[in-house]
Amino acid sequence: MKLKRVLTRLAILSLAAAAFVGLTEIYGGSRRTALPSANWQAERRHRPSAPQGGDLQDVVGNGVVLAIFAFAGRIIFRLRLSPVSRSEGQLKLLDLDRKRGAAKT
Amino acid sequence: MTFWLDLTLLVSVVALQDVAFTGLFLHEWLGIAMVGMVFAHLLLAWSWISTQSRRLFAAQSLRSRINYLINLSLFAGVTAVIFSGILISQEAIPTLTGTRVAPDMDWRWDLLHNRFSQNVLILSGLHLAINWDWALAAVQKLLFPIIEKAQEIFSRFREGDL
Repeated sequence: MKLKRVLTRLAILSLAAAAFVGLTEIYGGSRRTALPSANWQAERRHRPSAPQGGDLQDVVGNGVVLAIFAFAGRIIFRLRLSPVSRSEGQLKLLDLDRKRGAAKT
Repeated sequence: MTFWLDLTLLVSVVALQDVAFTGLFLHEWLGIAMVGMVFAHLLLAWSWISTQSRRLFAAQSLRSRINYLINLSLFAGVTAVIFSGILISQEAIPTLTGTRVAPDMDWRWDLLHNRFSQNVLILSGLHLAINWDWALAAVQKLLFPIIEKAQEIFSRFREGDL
């Protein structure tokens, strides 16, 4: 029963993924992109098959980009998407608002 | 388990941005492994997906709508990256299908693959931002016993028990 449920969910996810693949194919087919520079082409043709440990700084740079967007998103979502004031939110977090309401009644 | 899967996904997204770091072989196989990891991630979050999908057209908060939009875009982005990656694959897909590597690179898909992967990195950051409280709670839950244990060992050491 559980396996059947998992398989159904997997089928739904696969269908959604197939729809996005179709959309990507349409998008890619409609794009007219200029050929990249000769340097870029040469670099892409000769990418190493084995890991190059020396490029750690690029990975750290990508990690920093991710952290910047996470931090910026955190600020925006906190400021713009939280209609509850911080003090009220704090009460909710501590479950004090219900206790205060109970005390009033 | 969910936390470790999510952490692996996040690290993979960052590592996959730079082919030179992982090497083409690992880059392509890790990209294919992402299919399984993403599906597992979505199966574990199924209750949220089904609830939010049913409520999609009902009245709900702006935060929920944006969260749903970011998650849907991230799924679309990851699908696009994996699909374009399969089209330009030079190691994994030829090995799996037993075909020969295309003599020339499809530059259009190569450029799109790069662009999609940059979008996935940005969307992953936003996905992390909107689920920050959950991530923080998971880290605390994981780290607190370790810190407590370390404190206990340290205090025993100071008291001379060790």
